[in-house]
Amino acid sequence: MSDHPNATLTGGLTAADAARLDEVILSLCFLKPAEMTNGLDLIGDLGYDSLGMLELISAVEAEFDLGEVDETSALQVQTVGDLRRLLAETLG
Amino acid sequence: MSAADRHVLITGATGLVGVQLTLDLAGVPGIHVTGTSRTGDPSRGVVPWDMTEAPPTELRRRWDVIVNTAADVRWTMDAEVATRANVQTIDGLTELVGPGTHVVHISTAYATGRTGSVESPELVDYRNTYEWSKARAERIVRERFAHLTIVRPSLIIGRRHDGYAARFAGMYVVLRGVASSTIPALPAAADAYCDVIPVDDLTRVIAEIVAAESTGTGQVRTVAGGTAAGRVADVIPRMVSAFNDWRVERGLEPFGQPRLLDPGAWDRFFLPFAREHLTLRQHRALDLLRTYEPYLMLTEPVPATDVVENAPECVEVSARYWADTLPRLATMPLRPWKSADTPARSLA
Repeated sequence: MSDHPNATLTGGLTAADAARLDEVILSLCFLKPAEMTNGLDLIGDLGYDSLGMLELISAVEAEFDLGEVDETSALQVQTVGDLRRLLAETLG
Repeated sequence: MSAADRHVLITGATGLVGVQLTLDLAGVPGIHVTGTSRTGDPSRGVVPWDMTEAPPTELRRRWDVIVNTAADVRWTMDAEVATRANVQTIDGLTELVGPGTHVVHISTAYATGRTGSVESPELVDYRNTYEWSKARAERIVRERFAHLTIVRPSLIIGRRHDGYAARFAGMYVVLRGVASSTIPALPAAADAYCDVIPVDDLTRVIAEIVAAESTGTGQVRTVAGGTAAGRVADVIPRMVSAFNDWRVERGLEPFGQPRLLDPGAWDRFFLPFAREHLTLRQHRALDLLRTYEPYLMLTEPVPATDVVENAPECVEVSARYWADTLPRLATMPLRPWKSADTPARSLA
């Protein structure tokens, strides 16, 4: 599934998909981290609010043409790594 | 440097009010501005400081004026988060306030909650934890700071002429709800006041306070439309129409205007039906969006001391600026409400 030399860094995503996902995440928030890492908290570190988290999921679905991802899993996303893993599993 | 020179610290300098105030004060003769915020911004010289901790060395100096715009304005915070963001931060600020420092504390016109006063410590007397925490902050700054001015703005939108806003909060939630196809209807009193003010109308008042000879006498300045404010039935359609125009110009399907429903009808008829058919995510979104409801039912005008005129027309340019800034959200396809039974894409 992943062609990244260290797939754990991208939550199992290919480097290209990880870059697309990062671009989506960054396009909807005001706080810009020096580096996108799995541990970044979407609310605490990137400034998302609760509604923004839902918007982010919808934006990811649109970007990757996913239809709707599993709702329960989507609502449990808290970190960049969570979202990367959710996307990797959904694409897989 | 002349004797009249003033050193001004702006907290929350990367936020909606802080950014515009910094722009307004730049180049004013005799005013020397330093900005600080939790994250900082090296590109603009904003010093990083988490105000729940001790101030960094570079901020420890004599300040003539401190404008405290730092706040977490989310209406959905739990009480602990609201207290940390809007109350405990005053402790850090206190370390920087000298005997002659004029503190200009930015509160909200809604800090008086449901009782019309900031005195109640009870959460039930406020519409949300944001108001509750800002009321408590007002009580604390009044006790601590001898030279004080409190500024209470109503709902802040983007700049009057171009809609520029460094952050989006408050009424922008309606746009977000529409853009995400989450708001087919709004529980609102059509004749309720929708008291929005452009951020630069607010910062003009703050800048005048900063530049004035007065060192603060505890005065409260409420910057709002008051009786000149727009009504919900005018402001919301204006905002959504401007957003729809933006979409149509880009070949995108416009959204429908959300219907304004009597709150009673909303609770009795719309919500029970909707709850039955919504997906989990739509349930969550509706719950979050309900936080704006009290602000669409205010039939008493904000008691403004500094009246902002002609604000409703500014919501259009603010909506367009929001869409320009967040095109990924603004160009989302229209999604009809659908049954929770619609299968979702499953995890592998």
